[in-house]
Amino acid sequence: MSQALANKSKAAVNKQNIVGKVSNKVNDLMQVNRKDSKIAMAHIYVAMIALLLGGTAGLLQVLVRSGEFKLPWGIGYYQVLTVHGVLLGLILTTFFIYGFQIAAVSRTSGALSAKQRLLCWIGFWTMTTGTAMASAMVLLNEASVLYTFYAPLQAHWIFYLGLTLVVVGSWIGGLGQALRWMQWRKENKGQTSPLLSFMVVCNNLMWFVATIGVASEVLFQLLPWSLGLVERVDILLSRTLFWSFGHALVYFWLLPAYMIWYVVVPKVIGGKIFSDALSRLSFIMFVLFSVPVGLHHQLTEPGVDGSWKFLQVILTMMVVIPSLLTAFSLFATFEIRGRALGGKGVFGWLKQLPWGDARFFVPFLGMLVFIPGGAGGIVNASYQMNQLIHNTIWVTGHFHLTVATAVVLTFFGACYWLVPHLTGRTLTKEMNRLGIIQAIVWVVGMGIMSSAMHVAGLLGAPRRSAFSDYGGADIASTWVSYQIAQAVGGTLLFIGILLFLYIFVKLCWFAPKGQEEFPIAEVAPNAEKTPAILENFKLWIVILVALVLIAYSFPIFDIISNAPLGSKGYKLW
Amino acid sequence: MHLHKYEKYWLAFGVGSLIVFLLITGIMAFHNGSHPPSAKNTINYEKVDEIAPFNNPGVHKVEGKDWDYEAVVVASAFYYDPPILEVPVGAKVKFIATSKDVVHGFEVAGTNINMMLEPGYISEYVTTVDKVGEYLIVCNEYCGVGHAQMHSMLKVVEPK
Amino acid sequence: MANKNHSDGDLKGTFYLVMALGVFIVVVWGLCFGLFLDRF
Ligand code: HEM
Ligand SMILES: [Cu+2]
Ligand SMILES: [Cu+2]
Repeated sequence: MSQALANKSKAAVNKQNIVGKVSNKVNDLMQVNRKDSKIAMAHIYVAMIALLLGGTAGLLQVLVRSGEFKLPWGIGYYQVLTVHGVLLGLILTTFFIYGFQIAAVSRTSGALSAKQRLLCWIGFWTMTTGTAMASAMVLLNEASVLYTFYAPLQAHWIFYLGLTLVVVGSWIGGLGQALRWMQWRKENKGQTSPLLSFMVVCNNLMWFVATIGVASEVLFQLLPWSLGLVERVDILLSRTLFWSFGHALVYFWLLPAYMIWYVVVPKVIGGKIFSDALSRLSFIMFVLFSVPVGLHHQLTEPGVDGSWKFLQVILTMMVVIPSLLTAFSLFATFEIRGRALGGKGVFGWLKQLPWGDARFFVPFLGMLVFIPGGAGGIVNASYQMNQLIHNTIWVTGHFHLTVATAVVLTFFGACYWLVPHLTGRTLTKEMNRLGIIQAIVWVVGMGIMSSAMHVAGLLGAPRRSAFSDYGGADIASTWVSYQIAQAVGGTLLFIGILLFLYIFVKLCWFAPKGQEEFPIAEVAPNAEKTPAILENFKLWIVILVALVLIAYSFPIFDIISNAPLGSKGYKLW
Repeated sequence: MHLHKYEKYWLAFGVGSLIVFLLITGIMAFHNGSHPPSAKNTINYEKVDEIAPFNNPGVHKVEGKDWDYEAVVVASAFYYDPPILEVPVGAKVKFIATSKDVVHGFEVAGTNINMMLEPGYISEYVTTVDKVGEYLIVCNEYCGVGHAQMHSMLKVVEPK
Repeated sequence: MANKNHSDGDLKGTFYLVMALGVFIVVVWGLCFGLFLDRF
């Protein structure tokens, strides 16, 4: 017993030294470099424009679907829905994430080099140009194909080219970020790299591997086809390539929220990171299991064997495990801190947390909402049970909990320190209070809209559908009251967006000048040293590629070798 | 890596639940044959009207098969042929459907019949319709302007 | 990697909360599974 204790404390001292060194480094780099701040803010501005326009589209959708409102000037519902999906699902997320990640790397690994910074700018302008091209085609009604652009509906080639540029731009900018981390590793041989930068690299690696599928779809199938160079495309192949990207896409949205939960929120509440090693482990698991699972979006599709679908369902359940780890780590961080502040009893520590601090409260609501979101996700992925909800409005309810609340609220909460940090201002008391009100409005609005969507979905209401009475069918009339509830919730959400943008504008241009902290928590002083294997990306890339090959090579071979006559393009809007 | 005692309990519970979910769905699938629609037959989507069984859409009684009826449906923008399917309650029915143009959905609201129809592929699903009622069939994959107007009806009736 | 200066008892609240979360997931799944079995 005493022997063991002695060993432990000796080990603890060693670890203390190592961790101490790292954390001093972290503190040296308190401020994001000014030039890097500029790039980060450029990304965030684009994201906010997308939020305003996409949110307006969302409001129009819920109003149309209530049956009480018709779009003026010949605007089509599906055109509006394409705007909403592209701007919020693809543009808001990607641009905000890159803004945050560039700041995060600069803060934790150090200022970008001139070359890295240039790459980030090139990436930014490539993505922005692509966004403008795609948006122009949507506005001209040449691309009302929704953000998943399923063939054989055929958009204008400029739309596809625009999306390609967004992806290519993201590769360039992502490389700029990753290079900074590699430089840190070179300069600090043998040391554990900064956790936040490591997480950014994980996310970018996953994104890069995942986008290979969708890039192949667009470059080799849709672009030549929309240009008239080839007459027909293989529909099932295009969908399978798309979805090999689609699930990793949702984790690409989620991981930055996890970064904030793991690394920033503990600091905001004055606590420590529960476990550096476990945080890294869960990110590695996301990297490994986010890509080879796309078939769970195609469970009800013909042409793919049930056994291969089931294999990917198993892999999908694997990707739940890091979220289980995360739930424990986060609660534990809160409990340890609450107890240090004097919280007693089983739950007394909850009272000690800084509920009045928007930087904690807002992402915390995001975490809570992720619980029903995750539960619904497990149902969706449960093989034949997918028939219950596939393409019903339940699915829309599901991802408005996960991405449009858990992720988006976390991003909002991050803006309350990130934006003033980058613009050299401070978060005022008044803005802090508004931020808290904003989050409550959001959660109430989303609670109403999303619950109504879940229930209506179980009653069979389809997603991606304008208002319809379906020939007077009884069941369809039961959906209408839920659609009215969605309109009420959606209107609250829109108010929430305006409120947030008001705070954002204040923080950019009007808040008092000063220094706002970019909070980065340190590892608990007596934590074990992180196993070096977790940073061995060569190993993880090999395993990732192997998993992707196992999960996809046979189904894709099968799809190609059994392919029917391909499809010509249709423009049915 | 050292895990806290409670974290081990929690992981055991969480991972255990996932395994149970997988076992239940797996046994339902591989033992009871309850797979989601995954048929692999293909077709020339431009000639659907000429190819059996789609040259004769509707409900047909069949003999000597594992099911009693075949409900054959052709989807195209923006309707289903036939507009009404009528089957007797308790019958085992195989739904066979395909698309003549873009991707459509085939969802019988309030049931587990929910499959994608893709040009070039034949979608199939076998089930025993064990509750009387009128079930709305909706297209649940965006297919163009008329998407929300694309529907038909499954009538499960008392045998005459 | 736990905090070794805290005894296991210190994470009781965490444990109850995550288990509640786990039970919630299982219940949601069970209800949906019941609905699936009930429908044809
Ligand atoms: C004012 C706030 C919002 C409202 C009222 C709203 C409303 C809606 C509605 C009603 C739909 C489904 C329409 C249909 O299936 O016919 C939808 C779809 C969608 N929403 Fe939202 N939403 C809002 C915010 C967001 C946010 C913040 C995000 C993402 C971060 C988001 C992402 C999406 C996506 C990706 C779709 C799917 C589009 C598709 O199926 O093609 N929404 N939204
Ligand atoms: Cu997915
Ligand atoms: Cu449709």
